[in-house]
Amino acid sequence: MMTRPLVLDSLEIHRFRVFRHLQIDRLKQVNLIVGKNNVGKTCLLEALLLYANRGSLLTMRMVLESRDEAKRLLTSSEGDAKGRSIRYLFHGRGDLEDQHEPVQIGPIGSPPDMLSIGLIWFRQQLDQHGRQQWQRIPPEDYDAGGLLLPGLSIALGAQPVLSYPLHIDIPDLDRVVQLKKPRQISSIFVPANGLGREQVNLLWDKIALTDLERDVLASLHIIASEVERVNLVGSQEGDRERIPMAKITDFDDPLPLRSLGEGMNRLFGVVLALVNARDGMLLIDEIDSGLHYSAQPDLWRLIFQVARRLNVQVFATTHSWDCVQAFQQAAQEDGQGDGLLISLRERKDQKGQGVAVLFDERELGIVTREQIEVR
Amino acid sequence: MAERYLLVEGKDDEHVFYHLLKHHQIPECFEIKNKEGIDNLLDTLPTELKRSNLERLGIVVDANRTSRPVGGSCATS
Repeated sequence: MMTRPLVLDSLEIHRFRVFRHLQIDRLKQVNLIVGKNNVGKTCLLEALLLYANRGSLLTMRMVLESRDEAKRLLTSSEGDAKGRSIRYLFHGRGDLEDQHEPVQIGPIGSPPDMLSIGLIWFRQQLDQHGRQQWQRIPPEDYDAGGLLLPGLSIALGAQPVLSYPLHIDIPDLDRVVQLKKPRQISSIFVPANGLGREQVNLLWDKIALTDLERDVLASLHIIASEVERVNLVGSQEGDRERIPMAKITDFDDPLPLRSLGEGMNRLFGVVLALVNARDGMLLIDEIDSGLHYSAQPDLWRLIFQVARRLNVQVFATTHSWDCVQAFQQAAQEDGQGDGLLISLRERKDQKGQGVAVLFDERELGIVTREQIEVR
Repeated sequence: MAERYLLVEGKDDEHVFYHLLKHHQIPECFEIKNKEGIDNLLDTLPTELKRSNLERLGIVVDANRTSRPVGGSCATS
């Protein structure tokens, strides 16, 4: 089989949240990220997600909301810039007025592919028809006085993608941020507590009655071989939101998947997301959450296989040694050199300077055999 | 939670150091790790150096053989 290029073969992040700077020299098809709390494992997934969807405002909002930082992301008044939560996206969380350099996320040494998210300022002005318009202020006029509203300017290399003020009344904001962006990469983020019900519905509908259903069913067989079929069914007549139900051998009535244990639900969510991320990126936070250690090697086997078949680049985080071992075992059996363990650390002498220590499959074998702590 | 390790070639060396510490009543402030052979010690050394939280790494090996090419990139730090 011809090997297709990875979405990202390396990664560089500047000034995004916990990272003043982070560089990862190489990436593989399936990447497992470990590291202490607060070192930026989830933050790395968020950076990848923003890179893939070209700085979507919805993603930025999700990133901020997940840490209770989204208060007043969009504001209705000018001035009072200090409270604007968009500053939490920038490393150091300093005042907005001090954010002169953009967040940058992209592959190393490829400027046209570097995503940048910069802070810009707007002023409300009347156009020739007497309507209120947001006017972007050039940097040299920032100090000219008057009330300014912060906004974002997103670019891919030298190519502008979007720029907009973070104002609640920008009528087209919801439409604008969902526009197809240049070279957008399909991507799915699976949070530690699982996909939302709405997203499960959406993703299932995209693969229902296709061969990809088989991969999802295979994931459930890791824990329960007696699952014959799985589908999404409304729990009451007329329900728009449906829940995953399974037909089990020897049971006449279908059972809710959740009733078979949290592990089943986790497998379903992870693999449903995987098959929906064709030619794109799958980002899984705390992949082992809810999963017994004995199920993890089979999950990784399935991930390696499907990720290569559908050309999905997978990034997952974990705290668990069991998960590292399971990953190693599956990567070794897979034998294609497609696995990479990324141990995230912070340089002791330089706050915010992330260091990614990489372990390929051979070294990963040494890590697990010699019990070398990498987390 | 900094970690300190002393890598040794085998069981005998492990015991020697264990008893040396005991004899001189030195508290065990590092872990003695039996690498089961010089080849394994050298092969795994680059990976040992990438251990998280590593503070110090000591190595004790016999000086009873001529130099051999070390596989891979054996970093010194």
